[in-house]
Amino acid sequence: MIQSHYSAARVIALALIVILSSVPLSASSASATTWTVVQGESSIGFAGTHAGRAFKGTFERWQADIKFDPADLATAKAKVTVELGSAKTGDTTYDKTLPTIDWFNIAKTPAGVFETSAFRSVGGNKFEADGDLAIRGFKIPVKFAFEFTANGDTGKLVGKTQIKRLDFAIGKGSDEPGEWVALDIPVVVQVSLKKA
Amino acid sequence: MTSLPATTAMTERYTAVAIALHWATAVSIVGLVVAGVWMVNAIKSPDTATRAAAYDTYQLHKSLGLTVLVLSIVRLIWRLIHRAPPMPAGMTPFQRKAAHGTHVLFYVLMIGMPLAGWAMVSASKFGLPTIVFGLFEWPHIGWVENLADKDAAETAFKAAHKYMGYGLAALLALHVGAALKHHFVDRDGVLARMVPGLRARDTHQV
Repeated sequence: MIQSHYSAARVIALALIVILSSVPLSASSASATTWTVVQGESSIGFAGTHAGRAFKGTFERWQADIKFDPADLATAKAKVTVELGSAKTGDTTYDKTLPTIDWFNIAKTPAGVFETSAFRSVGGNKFEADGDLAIRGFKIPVKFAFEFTANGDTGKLVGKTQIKRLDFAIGKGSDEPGEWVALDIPVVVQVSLKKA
Repeated sequence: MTSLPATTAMTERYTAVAIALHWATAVSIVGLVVAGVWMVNAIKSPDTATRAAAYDTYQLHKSLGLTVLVLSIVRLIWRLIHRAPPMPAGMTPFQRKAAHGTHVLFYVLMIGMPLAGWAMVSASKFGLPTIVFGLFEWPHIGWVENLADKDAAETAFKAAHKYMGYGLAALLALHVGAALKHHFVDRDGVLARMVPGLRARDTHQV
């Protein structure tokens, strides 16, 4: 009896080892493709108006972890981290104001983070990602619509979303009514990708 | 009517530095008053192009105002270490006091007004930086920037800036009027002391 108990335990232990070791195996064998961003050909831009004039800006420093395969959206995942202090509009008065306490408040929260939770296809090479955007300590659900085209080892992702700056209390103390700075800020993302 | 030594003393000019500083500040101040009066309304214009131009004018106004501040301090120091040419002998004691008082008040406003402007910019909740002629950043006044009630401070500095502006415009009218009166009515060479190339209309000498 002792002998058979012992062998049963061995079988269970063996089975556990097989099951446990197959968990990471099955995850890595999924078809999600890991992409790296070609920084020189990629940009995250924003736009708006101030005092009657349109402005455009980009974030000079950001990075993204992207796992995406159009054929397997269930495993797709993206996390984008943007250094908010790297926003450049070409107007020094804006560039020096954006990092301050009432705007991005980079002293407290230097990064803005977008993390996806679900992807879906909306036909052809068009997709939508649901995710949370965290800026200034506020986390707001954001829908990101994009087009994705793959060509061998390279890919291209072009997408946009619209942010309501007051959702993140950006410029709330300075201009809550949006009398000076537009309340709706479109964000445009253009990313060149290379298979990792 | 007047003696010859007095006449020669009258035609004595301000130093070249004083003349240059006077006209540099004069042109700047006229530009500042015109820009200031226009921009405070234009920034509220429903027309987007006008609003955008007003924003740019604000930035230029700040740069020019700081230029006047620096020039006026230099000028005041220069004035204190250099003697001004004497006033014409024909001026009454009241006129002398009025002339001197006008000049003192000019210095008070030429230094006080940009300081008030600088303070109101520092107190503004917008926190917009001042980039002097787009070249370098002029800091905010730290203690003003860190005031608990910045809005109240901004309102007070704004009022001070505005009323000093009215005062400066009135003083400017008085100053120009007096200079022209000296030149065309008194013909005592006062204007020639500050205008390069201008000869005193010295009919007394003939």
